[in-house]
Amino acid sequence: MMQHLFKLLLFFFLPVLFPVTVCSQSFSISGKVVEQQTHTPMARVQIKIRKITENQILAFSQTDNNGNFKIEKKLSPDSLVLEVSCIGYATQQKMLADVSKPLFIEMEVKETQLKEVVVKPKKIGLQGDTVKYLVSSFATANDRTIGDVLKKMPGIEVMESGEIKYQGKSLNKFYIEGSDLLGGRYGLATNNISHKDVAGVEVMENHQPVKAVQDLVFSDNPAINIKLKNDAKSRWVGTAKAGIGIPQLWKGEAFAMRFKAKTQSFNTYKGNNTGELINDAMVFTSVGDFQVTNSNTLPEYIRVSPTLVRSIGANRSHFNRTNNLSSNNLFKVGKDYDLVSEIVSSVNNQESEFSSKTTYFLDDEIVSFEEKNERAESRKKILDGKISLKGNKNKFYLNNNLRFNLLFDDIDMGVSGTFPNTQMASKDKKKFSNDFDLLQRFGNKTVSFNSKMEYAFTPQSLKITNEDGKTEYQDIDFSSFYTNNSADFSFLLGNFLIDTKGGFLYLNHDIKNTWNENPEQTEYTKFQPYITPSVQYGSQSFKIRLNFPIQYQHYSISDKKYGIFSVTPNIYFDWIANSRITLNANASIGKIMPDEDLFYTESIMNNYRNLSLGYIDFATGKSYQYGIGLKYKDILKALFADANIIFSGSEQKKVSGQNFSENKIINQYIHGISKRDALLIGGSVSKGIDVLNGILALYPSYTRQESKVRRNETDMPYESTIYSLRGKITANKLSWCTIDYGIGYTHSKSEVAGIQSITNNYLSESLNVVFIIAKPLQLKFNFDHYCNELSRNKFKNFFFTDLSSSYLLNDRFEISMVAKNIFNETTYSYFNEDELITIYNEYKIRPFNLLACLSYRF
Amino acid sequence: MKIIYFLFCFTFIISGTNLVSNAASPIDSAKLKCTYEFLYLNDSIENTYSSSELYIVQIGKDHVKSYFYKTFYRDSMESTPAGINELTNMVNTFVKEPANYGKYPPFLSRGDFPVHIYKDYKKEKIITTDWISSHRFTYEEKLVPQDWTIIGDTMTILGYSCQKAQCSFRGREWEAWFAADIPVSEGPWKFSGLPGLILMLKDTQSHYSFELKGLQQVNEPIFMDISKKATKIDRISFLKLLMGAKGNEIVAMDLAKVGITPNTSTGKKYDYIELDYK
Repeated sequence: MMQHLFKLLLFFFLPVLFPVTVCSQSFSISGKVVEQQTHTPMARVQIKIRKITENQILAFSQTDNNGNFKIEKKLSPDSLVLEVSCIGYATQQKMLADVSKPLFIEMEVKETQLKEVVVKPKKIGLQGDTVKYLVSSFATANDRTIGDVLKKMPGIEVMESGEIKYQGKSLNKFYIEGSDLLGGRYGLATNNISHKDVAGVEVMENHQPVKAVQDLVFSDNPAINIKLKNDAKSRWVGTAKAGIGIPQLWKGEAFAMRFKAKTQSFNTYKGNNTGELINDAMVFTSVGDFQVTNSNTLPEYIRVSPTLVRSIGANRSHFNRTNNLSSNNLFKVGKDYDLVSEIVSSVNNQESEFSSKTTYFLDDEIVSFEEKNERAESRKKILDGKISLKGNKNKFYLNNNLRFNLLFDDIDMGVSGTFPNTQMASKDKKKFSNDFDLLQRFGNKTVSFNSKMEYAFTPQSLKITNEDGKTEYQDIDFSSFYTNNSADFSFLLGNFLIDTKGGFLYLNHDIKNTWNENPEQTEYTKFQPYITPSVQYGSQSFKIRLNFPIQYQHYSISDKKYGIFSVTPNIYFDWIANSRITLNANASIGKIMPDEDLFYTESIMNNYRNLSLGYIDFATGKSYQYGIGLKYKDILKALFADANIIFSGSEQKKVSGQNFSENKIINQYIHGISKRDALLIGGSVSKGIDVLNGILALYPSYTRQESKVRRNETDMPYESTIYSLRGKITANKLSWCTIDYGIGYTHSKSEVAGIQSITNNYLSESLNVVFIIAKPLQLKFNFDHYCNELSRNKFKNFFFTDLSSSYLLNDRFEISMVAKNIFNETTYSYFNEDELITIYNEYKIRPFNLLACLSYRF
Repeated sequence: MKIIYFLFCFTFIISGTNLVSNAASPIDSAKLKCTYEFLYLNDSIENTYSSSELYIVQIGKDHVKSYFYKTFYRDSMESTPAGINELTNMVNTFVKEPANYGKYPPFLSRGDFPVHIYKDYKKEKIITTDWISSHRFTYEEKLVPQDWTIIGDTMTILGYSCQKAQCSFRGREWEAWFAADIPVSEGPWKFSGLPGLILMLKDTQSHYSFELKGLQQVNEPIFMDISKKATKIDRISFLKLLMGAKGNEIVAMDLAKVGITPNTSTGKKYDYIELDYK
């Protein structure tokens, strides 16, 4: 039976086994490939074995660095071909059955013609790639605005301020339906447009908004385009929000937009008395279009304003009523031109309550005065408008922005204490400006012209009434005309880059100051041509850069004319010792120019305490700065450290002094030498902590400054030192909770040549925890603690605790609840010192408050 | 405080504008230049792909260099006057803006895979340069071609008849389509060893793919640039660093140095091309 079975098996399997034994016959071939002419061995020549009739490769190898190859494979050489090929040489074929072993192959040079396919690299950084996101796939029940959804899209980050980043890069344009309607104020869109009205978001990476330079000037910044749903176009869409809270809080918001083929309109309103800042209409800078960065700053002579509170943020100490309106409209003019109008207005009434005690240290005495129950009421009205025309064609770019910025800033301040009085100040600013950029392209060269022009006038006035009913007046009419025009050229010479920027600036200032009906007038002009050549050299481990700004400033004031020529070079070098240590050093010399803000005759009353005398003088001063820095890193241990030492100083031929009269401080400059020297040592150490999935960091710093003040005709040299240490720890280990904790301590000390010393200490800490409880429900907890030294060794603690939550009801409605200052702190006080003046400040704080909001979308 | 702010800006302007080209020397001359379209799944949970990127392979006699065009473009910008000038202007504009106080100029960063791979057939090694945040790394490994199995399937890509081959490489299974008519044993990334150029390569999970879009016979120098700043490391340690919590910490510390707290560190939602570091 067994034998039968065996025969049967053999019978069935024999035909199967037979070919196997034939094929598995081991075949081996080896050889050497050389170049025909030089007989040098050829490396990486392809050796293939295939059937004559088919392309199917059965075995393969390539030559080594000595031109040798070897193939071992279980196959039969019959009707197989050996193919030897290499780019640039003629391919050889040999019948495997015929070849002698070992093979010796001589390759003959022959042009290989491949079927080429040329890919023009998509101009990355020129037009850029577009990434498209479908909004519906990212939106969850928790989201309201397009900003909320943008946050979730991979690579897109929306900052606290509303600014958007794509892969860490700032946007250079924010388009809606392909049009740049909002300019830099795109926070209006992200904070207002409902994601339900948006079909898609397109991110254009490396977007160069100026078409004419798209292949010349690289842009690494992305742009975002919001594509609206069809049913959200050509009709009005928007949202409304209302909130109410205790004590007597309100909040209201409304937004409406309409996008049609030729016109677009975008309108918002926001108002509250909750202390919340409304920064939708904030302008985010973009790096894209040309910008003349140098701008004209307007002096503020009247210094009456509620002081800004240190550390805790204005929204805790200000009691406000704010209303903001904005409207943007776009009209398409022809194919390549857009005409945009923008108008932003805001009315902000703010009240604050504060007490202070200011002490001036004099040579042999101290002068101090108290301001009690200082109540400030500020009424700020802003009206900004812009009309811009932009033409963006392939060879031509034109951009003209005509703007006006009007600010009406009135402050009433009443104070009791040492000098009870009321002050009524008005600090208006009216500015009209025009920016013009024109670019024409000729082949690969461009000719461009950038120009900025500005006319501004700032009427300022101050009326002081003391407790006897005696009044004092100060009126200032300041007007200015400013223009700045520049061009830039650069070229590379070996390892040297040579760059030159040149242009000119012209300004005219006219100031009329009237103090108690004594009018004075000063007019001056400045003409300033400038050129800044710079040279850079770089190699693997050494880099050096030299800047050589040269400028000439020509002043003329009434019949005085004066010219100042200045060369203020600076040098920098950087040395990479190895992968862990980098060293750098820099040095610069500067010239201190005359202080143009003091170009007036007689005096100006800044506020009820201070009077400043004008000082028209062309003496210049000099300044220096040099420093070294060291960086260390050990990435494998996630450890980073750096340290910097910087010396800086100045010497001027004028001395600032204060003279104390009965009820005024007279600030004035006199001829003389004043010096200031400073030393700054700073550093940081940070380490990654795996257990927390977070980091631990420490930032120590030390500064010392030697200078002098002049009070009542006596020089008082002093030395001040500040030590500070900050620490930070973060933890992201848990998916439902993130923790961020920071602590800081500062100690400062000022000494007047061994006579007096003033010290101050303060500590602050902050803890932020976010809990994600369920998808539509989120809780945020914020705890701040400040420990401030109010007088020597007398400390006071302040605790601020906030809690907020939000819950989504359905598609159109949402409720949210915010509780602030839960432990009901009512005042916040601290003490600070600067230039031998100490100020003790005490602010009234918004008490515990609760706000509930309901929002609706139409 | 003003002094500190000024110094802060100054340091940034300086470090930002110090972009004079590194004098890299040519190591070989490329005869063939291949341009692949590269796609990767940047979120394996949401299933979203990256935008396509170009991946260039320069093939010379003894050296092969491969890199992402985006990284190259960013690097080469630093070597032209117009590029440096533009970057310098961008940095200057950036730091002058008070709103940017405490922020790192974001446009100085590179793409997702700032990897340069240099194959050296003479020395039979691969040198890789890479970045984590603002820090450079370099590591070496032995050049060993993959152990391929050729399968019968054929397909035409860019007019070339291609055969299919499979291999397993560092934790992923790969499928390649190669053209025997292009007699170079090369491909993208660290792949080589087939009897013809790889025209298409992807892993079986479709997390990564390379597809040839351009092929040119050229005569251009292959530059090698290994910065002195680069930390020397071994491959496994580097990948552990890049993909692990330490990689996030490095980014967080770089940001913290300039006063920024990253909102959350959710980690990477994709895994690396090579998985054997785990």
